[in-house]
Amino acid sequence: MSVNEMQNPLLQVKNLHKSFGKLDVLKGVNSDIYKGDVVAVIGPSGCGKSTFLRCLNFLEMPSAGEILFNDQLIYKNERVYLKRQMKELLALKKEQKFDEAAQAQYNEINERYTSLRKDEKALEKELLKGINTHRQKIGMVFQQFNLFPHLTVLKNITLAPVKLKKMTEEQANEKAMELLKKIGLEDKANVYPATLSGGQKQRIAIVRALAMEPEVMLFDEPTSALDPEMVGEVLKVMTELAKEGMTMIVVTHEMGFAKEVANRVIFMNDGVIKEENNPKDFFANPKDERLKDFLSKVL
Amino acid sequence: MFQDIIKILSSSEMVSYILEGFLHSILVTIFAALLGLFLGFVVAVVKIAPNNNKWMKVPKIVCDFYTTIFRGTPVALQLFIMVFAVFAIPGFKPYAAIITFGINSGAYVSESIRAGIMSVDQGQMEAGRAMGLTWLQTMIRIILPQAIKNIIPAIGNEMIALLKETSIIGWVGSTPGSLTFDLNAAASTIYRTIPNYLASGILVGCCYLLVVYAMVFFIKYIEKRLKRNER
Repeated sequence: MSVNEMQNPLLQVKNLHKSFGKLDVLKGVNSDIYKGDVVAVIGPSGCGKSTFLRCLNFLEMPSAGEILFNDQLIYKNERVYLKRQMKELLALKKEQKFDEAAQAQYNEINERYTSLRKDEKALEKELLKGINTHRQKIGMVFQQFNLFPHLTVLKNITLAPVKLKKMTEEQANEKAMELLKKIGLEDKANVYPATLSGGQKQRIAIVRALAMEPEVMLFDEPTSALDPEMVGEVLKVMTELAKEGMTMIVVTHEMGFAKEVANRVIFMNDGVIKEENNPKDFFANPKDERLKDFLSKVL
Repeated sequence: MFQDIIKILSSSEMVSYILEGFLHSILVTIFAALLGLFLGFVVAVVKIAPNNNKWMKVPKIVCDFYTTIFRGTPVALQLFIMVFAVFAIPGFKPYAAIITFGINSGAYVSESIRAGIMSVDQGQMEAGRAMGLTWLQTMIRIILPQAIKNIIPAIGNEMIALLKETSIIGWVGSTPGSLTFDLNAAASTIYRTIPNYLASGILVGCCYLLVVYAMVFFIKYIEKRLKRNER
């Protein structure tokens, strides 16, 4: 549970579903993220951690559920469930079991579906229109860094703030240099990413996301593509960021980070959150069987 | 044969044919290439645009139709249809021919550009979008500058092929003075006076070779310049 429980959550996720075709990746994820939270998300590969993260900034469009950001409903899709129920009812027709009761039920669901549909479609339109503004408030750091190889480090950082008119070029440069100084890479401002080590690249990717002054930072396995000896320098930057009060959601395999820096740890498996606790109890007294098994393998 | 070559080169009339053909071949290629590059670029971007955008549905179908037709039929056939049917306007013949070569080239160029764009890591688009840039902003500022390095060699190839493709422009009829009077037409005209096709053929072939060589040189120069900011 969060220390900031008194205030409203910054990000509320309700019953979030995501399927790729017939493959259900998220099967109802519920989570509230408060301001200042550092949430570590762990779990076996393929359990939907990354998909969950990518649904929060709509790099993946969720299939169903609800997402609220700053108490504002930005995504809602319930009609998928209703549609499924209607389909199931109609399937009864084939078995000749579609009686009056079923018909009544069908009509009821259909009515709700029709009334929902209009609102949800309107919301979807709104979301697509505002998606870029929404993303500006959410920084993301990728496993593969994804720095822009054709731009210098400084340009990598200032491109989005300047292009999106958040800052003038001078302001952005100043901010970028300040951030670079913080991570000790100010001498790399004018080099191209190809000359940097993995650890340096990832630190710059973090700075690039910070330059947009986001309200939340999402980290998608930020250290998984790094040499072991470079993991530390990236985690250090992230730890400092956490101390400054940045709200962070970190998908990670670094149990040390989860233990020491996070204030909440989430274990995901099979598309749902199986366990959620403060790090101390999470690692000392895991309750879920799968989590016990998982921890015994990674610790 | 050498005597014939010397005979051609010493006749100012024959030399003027070759020079005129040389100039026209280059002009036709340049204008067709410009049209082809423009068309190819637009078609590639339309084809690569995300599928969920409803405004792109019809343009996507049109572009698919375009590449299918123009890559699927011989350019000579397209030339005849365009010159004698679609643009059968007196005096418009050379321009119709240039348009045909441009449209035909655009179909191939679009696929080269599309391949170049697709060769850029998907993560680059995601990184751009995740920061709040629009699809088009990311495309222009991040994807295309990287794609261009992969596109240039293929485009160069296509431009060289285009130059030689234009040698059929004379098939729709050419007289000296018209833009359709290209190198190949010059060779045929010379043949009528000095009936040694090998001699005029070698001379004209050397001209083509010269242009291609210059193009290769130019392409390599561009490639080198683009590679400069990699490290």
